[in-house]
Amino acid sequence: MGRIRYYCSVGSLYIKQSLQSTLEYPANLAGWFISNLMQFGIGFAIIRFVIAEFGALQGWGLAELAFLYGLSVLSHGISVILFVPTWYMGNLIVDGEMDLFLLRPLNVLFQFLFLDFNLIGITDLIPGALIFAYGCISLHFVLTWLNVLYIVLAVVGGALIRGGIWLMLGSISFWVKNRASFIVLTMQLYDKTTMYPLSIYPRFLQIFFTVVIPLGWIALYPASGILDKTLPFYIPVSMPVVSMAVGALLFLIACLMFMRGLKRYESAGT
Amino acid sequence: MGEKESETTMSVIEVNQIVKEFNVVKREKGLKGSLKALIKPERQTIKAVDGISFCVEKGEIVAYIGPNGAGKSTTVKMMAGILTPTSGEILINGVSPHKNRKKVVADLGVVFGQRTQLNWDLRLGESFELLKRIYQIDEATYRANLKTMNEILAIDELLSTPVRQLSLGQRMRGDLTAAMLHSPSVLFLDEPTIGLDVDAKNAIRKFIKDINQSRKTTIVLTTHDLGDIQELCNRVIIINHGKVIEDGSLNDLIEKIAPFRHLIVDYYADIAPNHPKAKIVDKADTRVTYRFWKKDITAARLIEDLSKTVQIRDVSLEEADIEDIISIAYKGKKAD
Ligand SMILES: Nc1ncnc2c1ncn2[C@@H]1O[C@H](COP(=O)(O)OP(=O)(O)OP(=O)(O)O)[C@@H](O)[C@H]1O
Ligand SMILES: [Mg+2]
Repeated sequence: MGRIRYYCSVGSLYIKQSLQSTLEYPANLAGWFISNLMQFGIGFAIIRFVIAEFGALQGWGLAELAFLYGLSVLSHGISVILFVPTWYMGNLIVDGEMDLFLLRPLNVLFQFLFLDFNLIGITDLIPGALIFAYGCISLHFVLTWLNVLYIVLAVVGGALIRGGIWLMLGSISFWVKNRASFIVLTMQLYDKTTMYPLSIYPRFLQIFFTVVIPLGWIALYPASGILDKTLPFYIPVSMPVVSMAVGALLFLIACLMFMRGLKRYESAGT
Repeated sequence: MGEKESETTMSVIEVNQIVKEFNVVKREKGLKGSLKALIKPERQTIKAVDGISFCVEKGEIVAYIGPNGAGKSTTVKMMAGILTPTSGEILINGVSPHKNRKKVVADLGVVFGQRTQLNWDLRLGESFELLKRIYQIDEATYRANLKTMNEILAIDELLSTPVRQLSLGQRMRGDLTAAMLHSPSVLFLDEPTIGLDVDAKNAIRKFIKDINQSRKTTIVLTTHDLGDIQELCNRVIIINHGKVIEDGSLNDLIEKIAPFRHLIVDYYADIAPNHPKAKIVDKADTRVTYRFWKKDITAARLIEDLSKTVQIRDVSLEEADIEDIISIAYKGKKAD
């Protein structure tokens, strides 16, 4: 119990100091806000265009797709707030910057994740919330307590899946000691698999993104569950709580992989 | 807190036969080399530390020196729990940094001159606040330590400066303060004076002396600055190629490598009288250089003997040059 209180107290100071240093550069925050507003605005415009040209995709109209896309962008925002250090893990490992964490009497993974609590992710959450709100309103979706809980579970679960995959890919650097960045690739994948129902893809890809890399659970399955959509193939439990479970499990495995990799950490010979 | 050391025989630092091997991919130059490393990487094992042992007692200041690439930083990193030894054992206050990292580092201060441990994005004072929280330093101790550090390193004037704006010397003062906030009993300083000007170096040497005297802090220091060694260290451990080649006091080292002195005598005439206990090693016109062993004869006696036979214009005594001695020790040879 004392340990938990201790980690909370350290964690909250990390967060406070990150916020302070982000707020010291308001122009940077504003720049990201504009760029993200444009990026997700364009994403939404593409969805509108597709629906206008081709009509509903397997029963998903503009409202449903906005709901889906909004949910996805919200989990993206959370993952950007929480997991940014995983993006440059390769550099930290190759340059020996994990030394610093090993010198403190604190869990290394904890220090690593709290290294950069990234307030800039808020600039993703705002357009995400707007798109999501558009979907909800068009669908006359009522925000009952249960629905709010569903949304929270889906968003957090989705963020954990995104972050878990990043943490796993980043941890590979402990073994191969390179700086390879996978961030562009994963962002593309996350985007392409959460904007539309997976059923537009060939069957083997659908299975791949369900079982091997569980991207379907980031947004599509929980959205289907909440909106009571039938999926082209039978997903036993498409409820948001399963997303949360998949996310938690994936993230746990990623943490174990990090701890394993850390044993191989060799600093750098400066 | 409140734990009493029951064992009095235990050394603060015990390093026993440690070895550290690194597996590196051999990289060749150019695109062809990179491609080759990608397709068929040629692995190579480097033995950075090769069976090093030593003990350090409470309150000692030890200079851990050696040429570039000798394995100094690697040893420090193993003692600080950053690297795991390939084999061998390290105990800091009886605890293994590899098996019980958190316990060891809680009572350890570490500074790497090459790299700061402060957060670039924070002000110096904020970094300290974070450390206060991490090490659970109580307010009174924190204040007292900051006050002491301010007296030695004038840290107060830097507290509200963002770390990225600090000069190298200021940053080093910050790093040293950061390492002392939790009152560690052991301090590892890896090149703490690198790149600093004379004043900054002096401030840091004063810091090391004061801390060692007032708190009995055990300090291991690596450096390429012989001034640091002469001013601070009662003991020198020299390593090369990952092995200890000398371990003892600076005086013993001088005694061992260059146990002689030179007496340069300027005569009125172009002659060179011999002495049974000194050897002439150089003669230029009227200036004659004698080499003599301290154990055989004193300088005063030698001068007296020589002046009995021939009239002397001037004499000067030459101590062995510390820089030469270290350089000879690095090569593992004796002076001739
Ligand atoms: N993380 C690492 N990966 C691979 N090789 C390393 C690593 N760290 C050190 N080495 C190698 O081990 C050897 C010893 O390095 P080390 O940094 O301990 O030397 P040093 O005595 O501190 O030298 P310097 O005086 O230059 O700081 C060198 O050959 C170095 O290239
Ligand atoms: Mg070094």
